[in-house]
Amino acid sequence: MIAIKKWLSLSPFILIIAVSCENTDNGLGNHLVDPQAFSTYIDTCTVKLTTLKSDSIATSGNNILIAGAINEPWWGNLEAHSYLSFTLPVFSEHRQNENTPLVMDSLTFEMHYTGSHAGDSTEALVVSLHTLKKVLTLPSNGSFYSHHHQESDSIPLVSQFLPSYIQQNDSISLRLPDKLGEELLEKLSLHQAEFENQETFNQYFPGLALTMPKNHGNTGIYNFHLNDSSGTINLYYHFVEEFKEQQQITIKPNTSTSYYQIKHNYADTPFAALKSGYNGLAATTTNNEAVTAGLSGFLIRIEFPYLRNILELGKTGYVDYAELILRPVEHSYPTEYPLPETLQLYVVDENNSATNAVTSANGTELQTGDLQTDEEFQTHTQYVFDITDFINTEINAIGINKRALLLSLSDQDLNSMAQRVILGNTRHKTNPVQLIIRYNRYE
Amino acid sequence: MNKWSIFLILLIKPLSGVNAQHLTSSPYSMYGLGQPEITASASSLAMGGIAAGQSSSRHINLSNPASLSSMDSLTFYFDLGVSARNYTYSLQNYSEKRNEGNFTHFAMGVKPTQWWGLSAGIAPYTTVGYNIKDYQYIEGSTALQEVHFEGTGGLTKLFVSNGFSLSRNLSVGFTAAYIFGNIYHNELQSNINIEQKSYTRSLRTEYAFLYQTYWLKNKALNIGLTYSPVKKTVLTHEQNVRDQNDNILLTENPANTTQYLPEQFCLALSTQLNEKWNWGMQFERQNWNKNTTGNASIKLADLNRFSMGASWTPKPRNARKLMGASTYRLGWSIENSGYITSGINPMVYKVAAGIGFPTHRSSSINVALSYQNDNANNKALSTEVWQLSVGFSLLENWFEKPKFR
Repeated sequence: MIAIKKWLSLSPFILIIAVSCENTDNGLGNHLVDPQAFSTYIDTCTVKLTTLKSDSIATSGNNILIAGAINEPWWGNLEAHSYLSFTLPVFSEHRQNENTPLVMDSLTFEMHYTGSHAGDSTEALVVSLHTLKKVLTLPSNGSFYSHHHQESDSIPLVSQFLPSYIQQNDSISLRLPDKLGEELLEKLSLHQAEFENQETFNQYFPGLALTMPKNHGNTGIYNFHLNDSSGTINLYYHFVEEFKEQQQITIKPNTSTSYYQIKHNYADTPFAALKSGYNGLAATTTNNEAVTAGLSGFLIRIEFPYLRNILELGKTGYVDYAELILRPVEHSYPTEYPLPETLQLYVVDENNSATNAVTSANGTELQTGDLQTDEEFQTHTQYVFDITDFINTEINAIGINKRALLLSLSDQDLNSMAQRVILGNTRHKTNPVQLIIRYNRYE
Repeated sequence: MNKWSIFLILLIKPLSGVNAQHLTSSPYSMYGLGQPEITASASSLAMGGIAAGQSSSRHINLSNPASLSSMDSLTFYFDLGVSARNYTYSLQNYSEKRNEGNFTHFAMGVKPTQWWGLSAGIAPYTTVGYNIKDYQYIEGSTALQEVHFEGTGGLTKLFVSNGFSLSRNLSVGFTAAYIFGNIYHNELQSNINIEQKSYTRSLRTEYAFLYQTYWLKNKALNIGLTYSPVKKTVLTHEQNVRDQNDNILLTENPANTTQYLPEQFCLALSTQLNEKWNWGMQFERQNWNKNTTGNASIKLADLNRFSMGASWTPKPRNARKLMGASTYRLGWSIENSGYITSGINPMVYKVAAGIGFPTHRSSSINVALSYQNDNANNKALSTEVWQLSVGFSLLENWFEKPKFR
């Protein structure tokens, strides 16, 4: 009896706990409610594209050698040459008797292909190395840029055909003159003044220029690794004491001062009027097309001039979802000019200075607008970015607070890859850029 | 746990709990001031809600303040109630269930003089509780978007009741109640959240009369009467539109709306046939139809309720046998629904049963189970409710003075 009474006295609290469960939404009763908020799907926003050109791009310290040339209607003429300087080599004595003669076997320049190229890769390649006339000295700002030129001997040290269809990581070896090899071996082994320090070595041997001149029929631009094992000069020699002993001296490239020069002549392209600066060239003046490309410094500024008109739909609202679909112009990316796998978007001010990057929803990862391909018709090949946060900010921004987006290749590709994306603007007939917005509004 | 600890728990818990959880789960509660709640103990609910004609020294009568003069002057009274409800809504062969629960009232009572009984308490006056999911087309596409509607809150009644014994047979009483509270209506659509908070406060009075006479060979017959005049109250609205990050996009102050605390009238009869049997009946009317819903297809209707109930205590003088000393109750009521939808005002039928378990001294725990259904018959949203109520009546003889130490 007492136990029953105790349990009964707890019953109010047990009852409350028992019913404290979470109920789900009711479907019934929906005929009684009258929404004040509505969602609207908008896919007709005007997107303004403008091609911009940066003055130059930093090309030293990228650990890449680039050489080659292309000539194509959208690119125009694009040439790349690389300039290499080398670190002071060290001679290690392996002989038991210093009077034992050293015999030079060969002197080669070796580099490894990265697998990246633009242009026709089926043609045979001609690679030339020229001796630089001056030492490579970094400018005061600490970097060489794509417009910097270096003088080199007009007569190449070596000019050699390379097989077509070279594969990623293939090693390319260019035989340098034996005379140069013998001279290097002698001076090194005798510790002559030219090899006393880095400065004297650079004065003696300023470096090499790597070219793949277009007048030899080259129709591609190729990338090679630049590191301690690629872009090296290898001196092979031997001596005979008890046995024949082969040795090698590796002269490594100086990766901080080596760089590449880009020459871009686009006078015959739709973007001929483009000049460096803030203003750029509106896509409406270039066949409703805009281009971003690596090596050339071409970027695309993306603006949404009439975005605030959406606010007129209701008293207030919120962009639930905003998707920017960038469609490359069909036939602008044949096999020899493949589209980059990723692109990047930056939020920029009126001076095109980046204030932020367009990141994933949680703000931690850079969005890359991964390429979706439509190999059959090319009309639905596209890059897609979620720019919801940007649009929500921009829709309420006025005056100097207004921002735009800047589209480019990824940081690494922008400075090192001869790749491009040509986009159609809103008016483009086959591949228009599209901003899709789902707008929640309150009336 | 001493009696003061119990007192504090009983006082604080319901005050913090009122409206923290839903007591209702009715889509109709979105209209007007919310769904009206009956302030009644579990013992009354088990008898169909009749109480205005009851007179007892064993608990606080929450329905008729005039009966407070029947309380014992040596006793301090506490009364606490909780309810759990299981709702089943159906319309055109589709049904949904929901469970809700909360405290229903807390009251204390004393009798300062032989002719004056006093009680004070707090209880939900109206409750709002609904969760509705709907879909609407995204304009310009064929896709559908979910829209959620949620309502919470309600009005709370803080009351002080007085009962005066004018003669051996006649008591009168009145209740002064402070009605206050917030009602929240939320509409959530994707990343837009429209929050409307409405609040009001008002004073309300209720007048009561209880007359006791005898019939059928000295069987006690109570006649109870209560009346509350209509009271205008103004609902003030604040509305915020927020984004998904809870930032306020827009703040509005929609125009105030006038609503009415309804005129209420109740007439009740009850009789004590003997110490085992008690029965009664009651008619109640509440004029809610002056209130507006803001929806042309929904109107609030005046509420007319008729209730009957009886109780039986097998062995009222044998406190050693729990089941024998317990009181068994049975009740029934019929009323019209408080809402007219599509021109239909369904009738609502309710049956109830319960047991009152005596605990120490004259305290008791009362349990009531009721079932309610209406005859909407698929023409309007039909509601079926199972309700389990538990009341806890604690009586302490705080004012008893021992003659010898």
